[in-house]
This record gives sequence, structure tokens and C-alpha cells, in this order.
Amino acid sequence: MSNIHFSVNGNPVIASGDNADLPLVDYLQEDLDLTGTKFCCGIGVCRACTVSVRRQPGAPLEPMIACSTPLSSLEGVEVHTIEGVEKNGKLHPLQIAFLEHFSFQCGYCTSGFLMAAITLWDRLLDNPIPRSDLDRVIDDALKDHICRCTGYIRYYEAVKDAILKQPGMVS
Amino acid sequence: MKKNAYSMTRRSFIKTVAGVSFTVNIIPVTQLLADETDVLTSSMTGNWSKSPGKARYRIDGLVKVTGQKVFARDYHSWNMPDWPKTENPVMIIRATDVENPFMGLDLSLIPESSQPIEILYGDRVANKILRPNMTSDEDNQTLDQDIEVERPNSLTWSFIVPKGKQANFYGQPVAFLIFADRRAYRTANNAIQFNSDFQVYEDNPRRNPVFPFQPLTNYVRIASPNGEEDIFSYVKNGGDDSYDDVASVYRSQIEYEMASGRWKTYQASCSMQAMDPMFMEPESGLGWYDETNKALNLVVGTQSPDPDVDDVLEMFSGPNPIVDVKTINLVSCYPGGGFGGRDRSVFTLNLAIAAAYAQGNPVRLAYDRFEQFQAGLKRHPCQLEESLSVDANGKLQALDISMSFDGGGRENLSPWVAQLAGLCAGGSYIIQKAAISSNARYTPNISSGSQRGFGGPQAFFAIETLLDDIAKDNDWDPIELRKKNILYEGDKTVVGGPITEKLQLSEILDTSEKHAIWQNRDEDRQYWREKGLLYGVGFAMSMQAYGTSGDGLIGYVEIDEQGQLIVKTNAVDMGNGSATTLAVTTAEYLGHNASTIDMGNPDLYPVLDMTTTGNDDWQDPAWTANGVGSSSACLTAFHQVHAIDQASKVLLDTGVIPAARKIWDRSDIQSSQITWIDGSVKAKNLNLPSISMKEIGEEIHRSGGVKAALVHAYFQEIWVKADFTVNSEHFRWEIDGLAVYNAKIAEPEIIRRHAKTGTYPSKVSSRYSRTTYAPCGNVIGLTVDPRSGDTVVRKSLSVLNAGKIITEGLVSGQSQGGVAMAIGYSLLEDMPPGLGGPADGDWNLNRYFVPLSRDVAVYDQELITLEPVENNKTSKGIAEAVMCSVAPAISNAIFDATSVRFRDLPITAEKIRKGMAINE
Repeated sequence: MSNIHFSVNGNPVIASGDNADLPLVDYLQEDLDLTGTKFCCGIGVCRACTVSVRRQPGAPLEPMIACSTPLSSLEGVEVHTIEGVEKNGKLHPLQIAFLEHFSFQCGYCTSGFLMAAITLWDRLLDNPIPRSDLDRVIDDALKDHICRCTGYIRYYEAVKDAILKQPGMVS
Repeated sequence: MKKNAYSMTRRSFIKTVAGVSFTVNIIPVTQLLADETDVLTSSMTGNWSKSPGKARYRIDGLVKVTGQKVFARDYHSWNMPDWPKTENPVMIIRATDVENPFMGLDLSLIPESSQPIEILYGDRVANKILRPNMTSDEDNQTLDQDIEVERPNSLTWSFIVPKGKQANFYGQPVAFLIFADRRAYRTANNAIQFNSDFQVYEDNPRRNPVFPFQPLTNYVRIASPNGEEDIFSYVKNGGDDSYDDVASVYRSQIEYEMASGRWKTYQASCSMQAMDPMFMEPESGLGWYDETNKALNLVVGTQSPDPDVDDVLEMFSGPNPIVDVKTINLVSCYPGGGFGGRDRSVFTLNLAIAAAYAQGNPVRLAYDRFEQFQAGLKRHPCQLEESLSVDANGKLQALDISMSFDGGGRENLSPWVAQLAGLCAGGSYIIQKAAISSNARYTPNISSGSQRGFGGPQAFFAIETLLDDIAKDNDWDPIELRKKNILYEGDKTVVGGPITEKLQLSEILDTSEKHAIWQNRDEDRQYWREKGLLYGVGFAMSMQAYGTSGDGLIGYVEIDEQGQLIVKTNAVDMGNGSATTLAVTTAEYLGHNASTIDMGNPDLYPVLDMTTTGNDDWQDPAWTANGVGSSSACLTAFHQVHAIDQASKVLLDTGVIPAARKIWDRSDIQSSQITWIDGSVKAKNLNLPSISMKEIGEEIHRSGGVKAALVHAYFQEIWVKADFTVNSEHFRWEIDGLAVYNAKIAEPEIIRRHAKTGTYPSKVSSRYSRTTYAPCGNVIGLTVDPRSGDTVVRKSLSVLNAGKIITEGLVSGQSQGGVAMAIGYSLLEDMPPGLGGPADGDWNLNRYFVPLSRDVAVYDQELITLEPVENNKTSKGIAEAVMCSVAPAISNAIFDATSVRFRDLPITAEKIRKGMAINE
């Protein structure tokens, strides 16, 4: 089988076709040494392994469950992981909000929540929403993620706080 | 330039087990991470620290929110300095049949190219490592023991089932398979996972015996009617040889009186299911036996590094060890959640065995979620029968309860869980006559452990639901009924132990009663009725104890040459925030938060060279009642904080103040004259220049002063207070063991306490069970769909006595997480015992439902923490408290909504449908 070409955090990668059925989370962790994307249930339920992807140039970001995505489906896809969120040593506003709201405890679900929230963030940058819709869209973005330590409230509050502080996302 | 992890961080100590000495080196994962990134630990924490005593965010927050390697699962052999760069994946095959002899594996199911390179059957390893504990069946007959080599003492059965033998419990390993590489591992896993033909059993069934783990809990109390000394209680009489016999007589007397019709007596039968802690990171780790250096290297994330190291060492201390081990290097990672599920789990032992048999190659053992469900420790299932008597005035008079916990196959902390449940059975109330029987039994089910609540969730559920039945039957207000019976300072528990603090139970009841969820319940009921749903509100209260009946704690605080503070502890941060909490604890006495914190260090306690041999030997200055234990979230705020607080005090008294005296050239300055203003040392009411922490650090290191203090503290009703002499000065601290570190001398100096002075726990207090409590009340408003039985929590209030709040974000996060987990326990999370449950190896989150945000009233959940009582500067361990009263509040709310009582957890939609149908 031919090699698979995609990118991770802006860096082009070429995966061997022999690894076509390898789940993305394993490839990230074992081949690229990017272990920020977490393995938890392995069957696509808990969302701890969520990464953010752009399937075509110019397409909006969307969440992807890395434990259940084989490399064979990634040809031409941009993959973004937690390791690429901090830019030039500067934390993303969502990361700062997660910290300041004490959103996580053990932190194992954090990258999944973060990448889901980043995906929402990217969408709102291009398509602001009415303030009255904010709770709903945050819920849509996070509702399937499992956090076993903190009980969700602090993730919801952090994402809302960060979005409201960012000009232009909510009308 | 990269630093070598072991050269930079090696902290060696010698440990002797069974006459064999080992060198143990502990490397915190943050140091390993620093090596990788060339960044020092302190700068990896970012700008977490706020003002002294406050945290802007978690000290471990930055590394976690940027996805750095802090979990054991993040590491592979190629990340480890000086390790071989290839690794062998390990797969553990676990018993799915406990009645028939295990005969082997059908390896033909695995393609030839992917066969394991090493297969460990039980008969191969048995004479190397393991011997089951001597144990007895129900008739006190010693069970057959056929393996005669020492083995770690927390294990009851063969570590790996020998071929030809019957497995003792579901999830017990029948073989370890070691693979050449990940490709072979994956191919093999695809071939055999979920394939019931892979394990071969002979058709020759025999039932395993069932017997209780010792000790059994038997608390019987007859209070004096005039408030004087108990007529009989465990505290008063528990030391008597005749205790059980006399207790039996009083138990019969109580039961007779309850049946006499003198009072109204109410009964309840409760059934609670097993619950998986479902921490997010399945247990994972690396191991490598380095034959050249006779070193066993382990990378793990455990709640109990001290006992785990002891177990591993014991495994290699027998006369015929698998490999010759002289040194253990253990990298202690942040666990990805714990909740008790990583407390004395056998995972570390599994890893050590695999590493020892891997021909010198690194191994990686990383459970997937199916394996974690099949093997991981569970909350104990519990069957419970309770009778509660109340007089015509609403005063509780007598309690009779019998609890049986399913400990599963491997004895973890089961008898102690049953024991604490015995104390919790009395709830938060004065009960004059109590007969409490509680035990944990060996069964062939998956092993149970010390999961969050430690027997409390089961015991509080029973009494708190019965109280609502009593209120309903007598047309009493349920909160008013509780008010008549609550415990106050000076009252006694069902064990006969004293309440030594202001519990603030009446404030919890008042606050709950005044809250809108309670006050507006009739209006809310009407609102939901119009939507076709039944609405109910339930209240319940708990006063979960935290800590154990005797806790030993370790704390180390150091000032470096720059004036920065370094904290070290044996405690582990499972996510509960103990690293952050301990890092801000130094501020009370040293005016600054710590810059660096090292967690999970089993190497600290051995430095003190203390002993626990013998009983109540406080006259021996080296003796203590308990060295160190496992980490649990509820041990942080009161217990571990005390150790760091006292280490800070010792460093202030013996290092900082002498340095300040030198700088000021004033030898007369006393401790009471010192204060911290804006991070600098000031002398009160004296016209002396302020001294910065950097100047203090420089002075200590220049002049060879005390730069660090390592303390051991012990709590059993009270903190031990003892006298010490350091550099000719006399001090009294709330510790029982001490070593100080001089800046110019490599070795610490052990300072023994004065033998003839000090304050120590009374002997009788060892039978108090507990004396520290974190009371909590919960009000839950929920809806039940009468057609589907679906239950949705709409509103939630927790009223918590947490004592002094150190970091609000951590406390409320713990509370919210506790509420969520308890909602799962009450309504969602279920797993049948035996086959058909996770023992099959095919359970995952597609059939085990943990709460999502929609289940926990994410927009309508409130926590009220009570103002601490005056002068109370101590904090409480609340991690378990916050979930103990949620389940009974939910049952009470469903009762309020449907008029049907459900005591079989979880209360699923199906049970509600059936219950309501029967009731119609």
C-alpha cells in the first residue's frame, strides 16, 4: 500500500502504507513522540484522544477521535494536537482559562477538552454567534467528553470565559 | 546541554527486606521531563504562584495543559536516558473461568510471525516469587498451600495461576506474554482478544471456598442513659479478651429491645453494586532489568510508591529470585486519576515480574480499557440489612446493621473498608444503642479496593434513606428529624469514640433547609408536572471521616542558596491538587510558596531511621506508631499539610531565624518577634532592616546553617508533640521524628525527640476508629419520567464543612467531581459480578456509563462551604466527603417524586419503571 501523506501541527509527515490500519493516537505517540493526545477507552467514547483536523485547505477545523481513526483515512489532512497549541512560548487563551479556572485535576482528559474547545474557537473566529447561543455551542462541543475528576463545570466556565474575553466571537 | 536524569536527581537510600539490602533511587517524573527539555523543574510550573499561601493555578497545571510527558503512559524506552531503545510489549492473560483447572493457552490462534518471545505460566514463576498467605475457610480449616517461597504480603493467592490449578478469582493472571515489538503485539491482540477459545480449561468444576477477610468488624455500644461513661462499647471494652462474647450478649439485648415494640422500628435492605474508578489513564508503565548494574528500572504512576517498592523488593529478596537485583530506580509519575484504584494495585508487581523475565530488554505494560475493567480494583459491592428505632419524639434510639462487602479475590484494603463502614453506619447522629456487624469477604470476583469513600457511600446510604422513611411515615420534616439527632462536640460515635471538634451539622441543616431547592420544591414540582415529569427533592447528610485511625506523615522543606523553597513529600498527586496545596503551605511560616515540589518520594522516611516494632513505645525516641502510608486525596489538607507546615516551622526556627540573627547581629531575637512582610523577614517593633529570602538563603549556605528539615508527624486523635534540641536550642514541635540538613555537610543529622517529655496519643484512642470528619449535606432536585423511568438531576446543592479553605478552585473542583461520580454511582454505573461483567474482558465505556456533563446539572450545581469555626486554622480532607451523601439524597428525591423507595443501586430507568408499576 502506498504511503500516507498528512501534516501534524504544520509539519508534513509520511506514514508507511504498512501502518494504514494503525490508529492515529498510536502513531502520534509512538512514531512522532507526541504523547499529549491521550489513550483512554480506545473505542471512541470518552473523547480523551480528540485532535483537531482540517480535512481540506481552507475547510473549518473539526474534532477527530484519534483512537478510532486509522492512518489510511488521513491522506491530505491537517492534524493539530495539544503540542501545537502554544505558539512561540505563548499559551492560547483557552489554556490560560483552563489553568485559571482549575478546570482539570489529573489532567488526562485535558488535551481532548482543549482540542474540542480549540475547534470551537476556530469556528467562532470566522462565524461569531449571538451571546444567547453561547452555552449551547459550548455544550455541543464538550458534551461527549468524559472528565472523571472535576465534574465538567470548570471546563464549561473556562471555555465560556475565554470566548467572552476574546473580541469578535460573540455578538 | 542535556542533563542525565540519574546523575542529576539520584536520591539513594538503602532498604533492607528479609535480610537483603537494596539501593533504591527515586526520580520524580518532573525531573525526567526537565532532562528532556533542558528546562528546570521550577520554570516548568510557570507563573502558578500567587501571593504567599495562594495559587494562581495548579503547580502541575502548565505541564498538563501543554501536553508534556507527566504520565507513565507517555513514556517509552526510547525516552529514557541510558535505556536500550527498543521495548517489548507485555500482555497479561487473565482468568475467565474460576471453577475449572486452567490448562494453558491455545497459541495456535496467534500467527506464527507474531508469537510471543516469552510465555510466563504460573508453574514457571511459582517457585521464584510467590506464596499465598496462610488462610482459612469458613470452618477455620487451613486452605491448601502448595508454594513455599516468600511473596509480597498484600497478595493472598498465586500471582499467576499454575497450569492444572483452578483460578482463585476473575482477573487473576494465567500467563504473561512478552512480544518482540508492537506489531507482533497488535497482531496477537487482534487474534485473541475477545476469543474465548484462547484460554483452555479442563471440564472439572469445583467451587472456590468463600470466607471473610480478617479482621471482622463488630461494634456494639450501649450508652449510659444519663450521659456518663458507656455501659459497653468498642472503645471501652474492645481491648478485653471477652469483648466479642459480651458484645454478642448486648447485641441480642439490643435486637430484643428493638423488636419489643417500645419504639417504632424501620428496616431497610440495600444492595450496592461494584463500581469501577474509571480513572482516565489505564494503568501503564515501563520496566527494564539492567543486568550489568543489577538494577531494576521502573516507570509507574501509583498512589502507593512506598508499599509498591516494598512489595517489589520482597519479590526479589527470596532465596531463589528471578534475577539478581541490587538496585531499584523508580520514576514516579503523576497518575492519570486514582480514586483509590491505584492504591496497592498489583500493577507495579506485574511490571517488575515482566521486566525480570524479559532477557534484559525494556518492557512496556499498558492496559487498554478492556483490561483495566477486567483487572483494576473496584469499589466494594455491598449487601446490607439495617434496622433503626425511633421514639415518639423523633429521637433515634437503636441501630442494628449487618454489612457484607464483596472483597473479590485479592485482599487489598477490604477489611479496613468494612471497618470504616461500621463507623459510618451511625451516620451523623447520636444513637444510644448500636449493634454493627461488618465484614469483607473473599469471593471469586474482581478484586475490590479502597475506592473513594472507603465504605462510607454504602453505610451512609442506608441510614440516610431510612431516616426519610421514618420522616415520611410519621409525617415529620426530614431535616427537622435530623436536627433532633445530630452529634455535637463531646458526644460519642457508635464506636464510643469522642467527637472532638465542632462538626457544624446544624449549620449544614439550616443552610440546606433555607436553600431555594428545598424551599421551592412544591413550585418546582408543579413546573415539571406541567411538562409531564415527576419532580422530587431529597436531602441527605454525611460526616465522612478522613485519614485512618493512625497516620504517619513525612515532610521536607529546604531553602536553597537563592532563597527558593523546595518541598519534598512521599505523597502522590492523583490530580487532587496536593502538589499545589503543599507548595503553598510553606507560606505560613516561611513567607513564601515553594518554587519546586517533589512528590512520591519513598526515600524520605528511611532517612529518619525510625522503628514501628512493638506497641505504644513512645518512650523510645526512635519509635513511631506508623511510618508512612499510601496517598489518598483526603489525606492532603489536614495531614500532609501538617507535615509540611511543621517542617517549615522547624526550618524557620533552626535555619531562618539563626541566619537573620547573624545578619542583624542580634542574637537575642526570638521566634515570636519574627514576621514576614512582602516576602521579607522583619523583626516586630524593632528598627532593623528587612531581610530578603535570598539574603537568608545566602547566609545559611555561606555559614553552614540548617538549610532543610525533614519531619515525621503522627496523628491519632491528636498530633504528637515532642521536644527537640537543635544546635543547643530547645524547641517543641508537633512532630515525632526529625532530621536537619546542614548546608555544609552532606549527610543529614537525625535529631531524636526527648524521651521523657511530649504529648502522645492515649492507648484507648487507637480504638476510636476516627476523630476527624468532613461533614457534608446534599440537596438534590431531580425529575423522573413516569413512562421511561429516566431520571435527570436538575439541581444540586452541597453544603460542606471543609474547615479552612486553602485553594478554593481545588476544593470546589473536588466537590463537583465528587457529585458527578456519586451521580454515576446512584443512577448509571453498573457491572454485574462474575461472567457477564467486566471479568469477561470485553467491557468498556460503551456499556459502562459514567456521567457526562448532561447528567450532573452543570448549570445548576452549587457548593456552599461553611465559614470555619472561630480560631480553626485547620483544613479538612474532603475528597471522599463530597460524594457520601449524594446517593441517599438521590434515592430520597426519587422517593419524593415517585413514592417508591429504591435501595438497589444503581437506580436505573428499568428499576424505576418496574418499581412504579408494582406500586400502582
